[in-house]
Amino acid sequence: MKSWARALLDLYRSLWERFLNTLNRRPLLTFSFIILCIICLAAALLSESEGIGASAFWHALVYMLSGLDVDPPQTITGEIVASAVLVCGVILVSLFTGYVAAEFSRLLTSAVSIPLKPSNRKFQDHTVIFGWGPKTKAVLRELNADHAARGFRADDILVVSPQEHLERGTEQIYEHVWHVRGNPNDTDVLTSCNISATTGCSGADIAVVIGDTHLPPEEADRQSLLTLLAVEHLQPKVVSLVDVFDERSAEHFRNANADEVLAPSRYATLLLARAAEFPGLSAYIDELLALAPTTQSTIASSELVEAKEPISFYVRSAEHLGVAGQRLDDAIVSSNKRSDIVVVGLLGRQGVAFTCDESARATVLEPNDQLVVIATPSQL
Amino acid sequence: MEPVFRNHIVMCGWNRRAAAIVSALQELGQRPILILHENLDDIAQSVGKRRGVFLMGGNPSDKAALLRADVGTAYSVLVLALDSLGDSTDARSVQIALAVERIRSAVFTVVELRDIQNKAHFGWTKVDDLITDQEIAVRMLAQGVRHVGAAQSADSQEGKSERHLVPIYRQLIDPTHSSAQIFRVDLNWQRFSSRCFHELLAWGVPRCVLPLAWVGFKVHRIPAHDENHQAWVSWKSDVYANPPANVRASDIWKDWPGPDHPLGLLVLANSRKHAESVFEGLR
Repeated sequence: MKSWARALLDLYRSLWERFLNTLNRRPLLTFSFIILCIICLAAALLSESEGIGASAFWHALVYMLSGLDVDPPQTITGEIVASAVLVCGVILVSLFTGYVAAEFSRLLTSAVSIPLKPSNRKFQDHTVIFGWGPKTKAVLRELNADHAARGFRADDILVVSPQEHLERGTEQIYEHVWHVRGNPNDTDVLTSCNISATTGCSGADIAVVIGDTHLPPEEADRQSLLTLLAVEHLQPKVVSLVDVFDERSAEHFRNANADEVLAPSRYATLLLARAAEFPGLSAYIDELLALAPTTQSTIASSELVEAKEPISFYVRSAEHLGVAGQRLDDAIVSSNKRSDIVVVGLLGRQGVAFTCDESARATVLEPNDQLVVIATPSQL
Repeated sequence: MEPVFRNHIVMCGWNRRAAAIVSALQELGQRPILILHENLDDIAQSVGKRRGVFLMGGNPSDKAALLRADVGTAYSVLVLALDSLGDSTDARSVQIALAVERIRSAVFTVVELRDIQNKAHFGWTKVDDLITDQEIAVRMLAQGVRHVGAAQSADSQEGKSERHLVPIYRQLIDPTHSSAQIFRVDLNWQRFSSRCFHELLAWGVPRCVLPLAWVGFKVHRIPAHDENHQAWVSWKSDVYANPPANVRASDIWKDWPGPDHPLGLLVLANSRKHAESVFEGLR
């Protein structure tokens, strides 16, 4: 091909791409511009016989009414131009109608769906949840209740799911939640979630992998393992929490460096047995686990505790609790007498040393020693 | 007729996790376990020959079958979700819970729930505990996100240490790798109802037993709908965590189902026997 022909083709391609881009970004403006161009062009073609003003008005009428109730052109040129204007008019009006319908449909869908993550926004210190279903919604509900109770601003949460739309219903729990559409095992999708740190962006704090309830348990666990491996490969520092269906798979997740592997099926079995043997234990653990006030909670029966706050675990320094210099067992008794809290352990490098251990009990507390306490927010 | 079983655990139904539950119960205590199931032939092989485990044929939602299983003198009743019934298993559990409640409301009833959406239906049954793996997973994940999030954004050492709290929830439910466990100690109501919680804590801590919560009873008085119905009283277990130091159990629970019903104390300890012996020694 000759060089001038190639240059012309490149120019045409470039203009066409630019046109499509503009159409994509500002469709209404582009449509209006095209219509104006057609009317002006047609008016210019017939301006010699009709005059430019009358000709423009005639073409506007032809365009808007598709030629109805308008005197037809008398010359061959007029008929050709009018036919072209008519065809353009029909095409443009149908395109415009299609655009309005599509936009309306999109707005309707977006009103009940979680918004897609804006492509140009960089998230950091956020949480990424892999998988969408009743469990994900319930986790978001719990977190939302906790933020409301503590008056905290919720961290941004990205939900990764291949589904086209994530229906959110009417609940007001999705304020800082965004949808990333794609396969959770796809590295490109994970990169778009800003899992790993980049320049000026610290990356995600937490990755929560929730198994797909539509798959058989073993298959769902395999998928979760692939997701975990992809996440750990991109950002080993991210704290990963994994929900495992089959407790026999738990070992694989630990081998893949998951920070916390939760096997709820096993916990349910153990809890059912312990609840039957130790009445009250399950309700107590439920109370400790719940971020939102529990409906099952039976605590508010007494007049003494009408407005009972939920109890939870907290970490406080010995200095904060005013027990520095005391032995741990004395500190437990004195802090309970003073503010009704229960100190359950001392936080060390190896985790929590519970206070029922003989060796931990005799420890003399330094001001910076971290104590694990069970308390309500107001007791602290 | 004199009951054959007393202070036993009645397990209504059998499912894929039932064998593991029986094993866990046998590890935890020495109570007899009575399995009430419609078709014993199906489960005889899975149950096997275990000491202290008894099988009884019958429909658990049938009052006569529950009476034969001595639910009136049972320590607790465990209602399992049947795998074979699919979505209607929760409806069957409601029927069983209502039947148990009518025989003796103070018996402790634990129900395994299949679908968390059905939780509201159990409101009228006065079931003591509803357990579903779905809810456990959700709450543990949410706690994980909460504590890790707090630790990452914290400025203080206390806040940063919050991350270490995540495994505690797992350890409390699954104490396989931890020596400390939560147990319940049954205390004589007449002897201990006038004691303050702080008194028990001050007694237990030097002896390596940490009291966490009291377990009493909450009363529901259900009025008669018309002259043909009788008003009745329903009892449900009532957990009181971190009670005020100087408040006695009798101040919290004015009504009590009877002196033979024990006051529960949840404790953190290394062994159940040791925890029980510690409070036996308190005069």
